[in-house]
Amino acid sequence: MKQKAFLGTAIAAALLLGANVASACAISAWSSATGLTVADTNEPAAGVNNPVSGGFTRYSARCGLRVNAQNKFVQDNTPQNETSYRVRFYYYTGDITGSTQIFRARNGSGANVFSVSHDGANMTVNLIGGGSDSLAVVDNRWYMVQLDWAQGTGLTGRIRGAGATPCVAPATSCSNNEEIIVAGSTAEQVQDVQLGLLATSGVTVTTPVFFDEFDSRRTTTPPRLVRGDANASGVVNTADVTNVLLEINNQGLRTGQPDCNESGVVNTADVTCVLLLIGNPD
Amino acid sequence: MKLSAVFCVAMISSAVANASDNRIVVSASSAKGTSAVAIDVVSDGSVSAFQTFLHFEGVSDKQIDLSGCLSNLPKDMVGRCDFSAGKVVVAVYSPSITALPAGLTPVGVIKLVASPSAIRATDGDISNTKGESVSSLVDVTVN
Repeated sequence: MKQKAFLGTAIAAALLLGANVASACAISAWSSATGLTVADTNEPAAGVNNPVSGGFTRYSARCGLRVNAQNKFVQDNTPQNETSYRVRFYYYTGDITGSTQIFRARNGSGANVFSVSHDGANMTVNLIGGGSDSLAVVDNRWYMVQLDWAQGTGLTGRIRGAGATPCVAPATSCSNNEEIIVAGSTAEQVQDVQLGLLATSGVTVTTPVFFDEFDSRRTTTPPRLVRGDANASGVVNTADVTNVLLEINNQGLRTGQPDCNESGVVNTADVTCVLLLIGNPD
Repeated sequence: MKLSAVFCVAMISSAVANASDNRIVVSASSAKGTSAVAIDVVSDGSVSAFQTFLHFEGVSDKQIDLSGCLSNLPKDMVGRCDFSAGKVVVAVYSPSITALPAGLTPVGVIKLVASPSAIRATDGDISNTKGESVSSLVDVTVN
């Protein structure tokens, strides 16, 4: 984890899975970890930055959390009987077989209020007492998961990744880009949340999955990070092109999101991706 | 007439180039219903990427010839010049992260089969070899 920001509306805000320049990668901001240690969070190394080849990947800044087997996860006990919970995190799909929850928000009895699952081909959001919504996903790509839940209402949000283009209204579902709408009305409260490969059996991991930029809040939705904004300026411009080139040339990890095409690797394809995003709304 | 105007801008810009003078220079001239818009960049010697969006009021994309937009770039600079969402996007960078020489560097010329009622430049950004934005200045001159 990267830092713990104390926003006025935060539940357990910004339990980010990265690190700032001066600090090492860590998971100590989480309440507990099962099967994971600090060795499972790291930054991409020069020349070994492809997770398919055993490297670490991250979505933003420096560090990502690697999960290479089932029943490995982190837990946040900070949400205490929350009646609203808004979360955003980034998930690298890796290459897995079998179905597992990758995120769950639980009530005081340990039952899921809502959850996100991945079975290697689809990501599915489930709401207790309600329905589900799913999106076909591809291996070895980053996806943003952004969910808003409140007691007595349904669940809304978006899953988007793999360099997906904008999903233009009125469409709610496009390739790698799904607006999450799950109807339901419950009196539940969120007591804790877990993040990782939560299944205890039936899951085989060929390429590890990764998590990054976890942010949870009570009343405001954590925003989507600007794809291709390599220098974290808030906009995509030619300065980001140079920043991507600098990272490719081993001149240090960038502070923003240089992996523009969300492939898990920063390479020349991201240069082209950034260039094409200039002047085009994403 | 157009060349004279561009040359004039070049001389002035070169003479006073320093760290605060990094800028994109857009010079337009019109005659007999056609226009030529020259694009140049003035650098203090650290610039390796720059961009601007050009809005030609009252001109459709079919009236814009972008074939020469980047034709004068140095060999180690590449980029994109296209019509996108109602504007011309000019974005240039150096794949080898090489800085432009100090002074004025010609970028190219956009030709219009029309006389725009106005030319606006937005989203200007000039960055150095460290990927740091050093200027957002875009000077637009219409002769």
